[in-house]
Amino acid sequence: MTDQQPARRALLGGAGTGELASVTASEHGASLVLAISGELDISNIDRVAEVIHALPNTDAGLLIDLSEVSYLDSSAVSLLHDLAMRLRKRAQQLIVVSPPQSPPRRILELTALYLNAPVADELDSGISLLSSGGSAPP
Amino acid sequence: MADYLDRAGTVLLVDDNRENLAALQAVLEPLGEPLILAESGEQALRALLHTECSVILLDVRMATMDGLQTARIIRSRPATRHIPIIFMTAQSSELDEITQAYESGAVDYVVKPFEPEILRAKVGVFVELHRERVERVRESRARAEAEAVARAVRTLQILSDAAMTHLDTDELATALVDRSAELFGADAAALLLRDEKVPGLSVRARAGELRLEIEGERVRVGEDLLGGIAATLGGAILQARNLDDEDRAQAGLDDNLRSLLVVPLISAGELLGLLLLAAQPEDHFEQRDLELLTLAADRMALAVDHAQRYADGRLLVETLQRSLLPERLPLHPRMHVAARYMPAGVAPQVGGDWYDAVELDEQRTAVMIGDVVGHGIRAAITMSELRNALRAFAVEGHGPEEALRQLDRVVLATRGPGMVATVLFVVIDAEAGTVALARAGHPPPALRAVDGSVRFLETKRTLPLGVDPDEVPSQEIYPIKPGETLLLFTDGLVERRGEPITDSFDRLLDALGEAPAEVEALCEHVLLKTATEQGRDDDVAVLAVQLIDVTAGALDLRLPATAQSVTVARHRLRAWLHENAPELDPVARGDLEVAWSEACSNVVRHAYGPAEASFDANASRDGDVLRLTVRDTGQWRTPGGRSGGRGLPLMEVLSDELTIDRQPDSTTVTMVRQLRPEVAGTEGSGAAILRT
Repeated sequence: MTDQQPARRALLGGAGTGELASVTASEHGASLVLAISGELDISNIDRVAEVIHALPNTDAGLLIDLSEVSYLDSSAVSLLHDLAMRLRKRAQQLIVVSPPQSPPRRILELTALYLNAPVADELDSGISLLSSGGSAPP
Repeated sequence: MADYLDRAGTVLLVDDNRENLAALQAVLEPLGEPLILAESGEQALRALLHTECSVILLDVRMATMDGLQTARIIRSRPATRHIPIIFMTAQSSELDEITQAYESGAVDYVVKPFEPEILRAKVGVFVELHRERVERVRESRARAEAEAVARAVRTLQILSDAAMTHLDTDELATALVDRSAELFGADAAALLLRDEKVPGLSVRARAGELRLEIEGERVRVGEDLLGGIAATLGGAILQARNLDDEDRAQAGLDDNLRSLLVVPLISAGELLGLLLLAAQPEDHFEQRDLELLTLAADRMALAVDHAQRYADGRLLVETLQRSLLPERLPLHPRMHVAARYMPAGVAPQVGGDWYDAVELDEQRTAVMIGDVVGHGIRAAITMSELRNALRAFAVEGHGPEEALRQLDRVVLATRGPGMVATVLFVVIDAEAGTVALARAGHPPPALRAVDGSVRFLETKRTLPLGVDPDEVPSQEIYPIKPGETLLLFTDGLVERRGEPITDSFDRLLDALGEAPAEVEALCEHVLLKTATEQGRDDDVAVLAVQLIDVTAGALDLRLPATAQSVTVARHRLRAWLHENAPELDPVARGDLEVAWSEACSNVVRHAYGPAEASFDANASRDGDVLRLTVRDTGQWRTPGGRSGGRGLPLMEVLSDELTIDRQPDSTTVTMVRQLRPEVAGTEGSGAAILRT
């Protein structure tokens, strides 16, 4: 039955569900990649947080791909900071992917997420950061 | 305890002179509070044993036990320590006596003969204070209860989240048994599930420091202790000391594991498994644990059922179906678009319902909805082909009539006769205020006016696609005004077995008429109100388009203080900026969206008081100056909670000027942004905000 499992599991949202954001999970080697799309704000951040916190936490690291996120604000920033610190305590790593020049990236920079988690420009560089054991980019 | 809370106002009057007591009674009766009269310190102390008082009026000089002594005893008892005491002293009292009175715990004193008005006012103040205190106690109890409920809910959430994130039955079983053991402090745990190869339930996953040895790794329903419990479809708490050797061995209890919690997993009345939690101490599990785990077991059972169905490939079809629908609907500056899809409740097959929305330009959006007759993978593939073809015709700029004519040709050419599909194609033009539509065998859309009145936009009845190449769908054009909402739906929404279709259409109109104005909530409401009680035979899709009222000028919103309102406010601001400040670059527009959302979020986070609390959000433009204000009728609180204290600094950095006007009964946050490019975006954009 394992081979029927899709590469990406839908954890939240999806077409026709009316969710402001969707979350899907996939495995990349020893790490978990969560792809979020849509908008993140006070109305849905708790649900997104629940989904993330409920994930099995045995992996070496977690990558959160925000490439398809069109909006986020302090509620999402706080979730990411908290998550980074929580993972660090368990010697796990959080990498965030957000394209340069995008509105979410601007908010992540203004709120100094890089102090807690490396922010990569795109998914591939994020994954190589994860597998390299992840020193923050300069 | 409830008793004393209810008798919140009782006033205790203590004087060994009956005439004085009667006088006090006459003075204080107008307060409308219960009065208790005591003629001695002893009587007063006895009364306090069973009545909680709000205030005590105590005569200092009494024959046996005097007032000072009585007060000291009252003060020495935890149950009465907090009750304010007003001493009554004679005119001739010396300063010394008054000092002693205060030392023994008086909060006030009155001199006899007293002024009725003053005495009444003083007592009234203490009664009121007491009420407030009781209210606070009530609140803190309610809070404690709420916290207990929240903890239980949290436990359920952890378990059901674990349930929902695994599709593989083994992974799921391991996750469920791990988390249950952790949450309920079990030393050993096992989950038994139905197994197709062997009868009964077999151990599928284990957790805990110790190992729970179920005899034979299996439970036969109806046999032995555990099988007997499973057969009842109810849970149980077992103690090793109450079991005989045979039962103890079967349940895996021994000298080490002394207590056991057993809960069955039941889905749709069917036993799917058994969850066993064991602990070393006797009486480790309480009735509450059984109740909570039983609740959680319902969710676990659903997940197990889900995983097993997934393994059968049944869930694959739903996943496939959703993957054929658009993941995101366009965020058009002039229209709000929302949609919902619900798979059939009973038939585990792909339905043929689909919808799509394409932004044609800044004024127009094409929306389409359709239904392919039949189920299964074949219907899904057809549906996907139709959707892609129609999307292409829409993007090419064909109007509804032409698009459907082309589509009909595609259907006839590629699918051949016998394949039946209905479709409705609509182009909404915000600038012209028109809805152009054509339909092939599909129900017409419904339009809701701003005043809530609803009607169907009928066109000539036409055959489904692929039936007759000579039949041409005709196009009609209807007017649509800002604030009006168009609802497209598939016939799963209006078809109910054994009911005339006209009744169902009326029900849909009723549901649409009374639905909330906001499109997401509107879709939910319509689905909820038209859903049948016992699951659906057919899948259902609905899609709503609302024309945003973007007449030039200020944006004035009044919204309920809920988290959803923040999203609504942001989407409205986005549309308003698009219309009223088109020269803003995307970064600046994004900045304003965040600043505005932060201000709204702060209102919502701290909304308290009446449930229907609301706030006002306004945007206006004066020359090159944009002004955003968010006003609520509460005290300003510095942003905290989920914003982690980052909300306010973000508002500061993202606007050129931020002012917070705190009034006793309202707070107004005003953010100003200059539109001139040499000013916009320069301030603070290089600095990072660190946590405050």
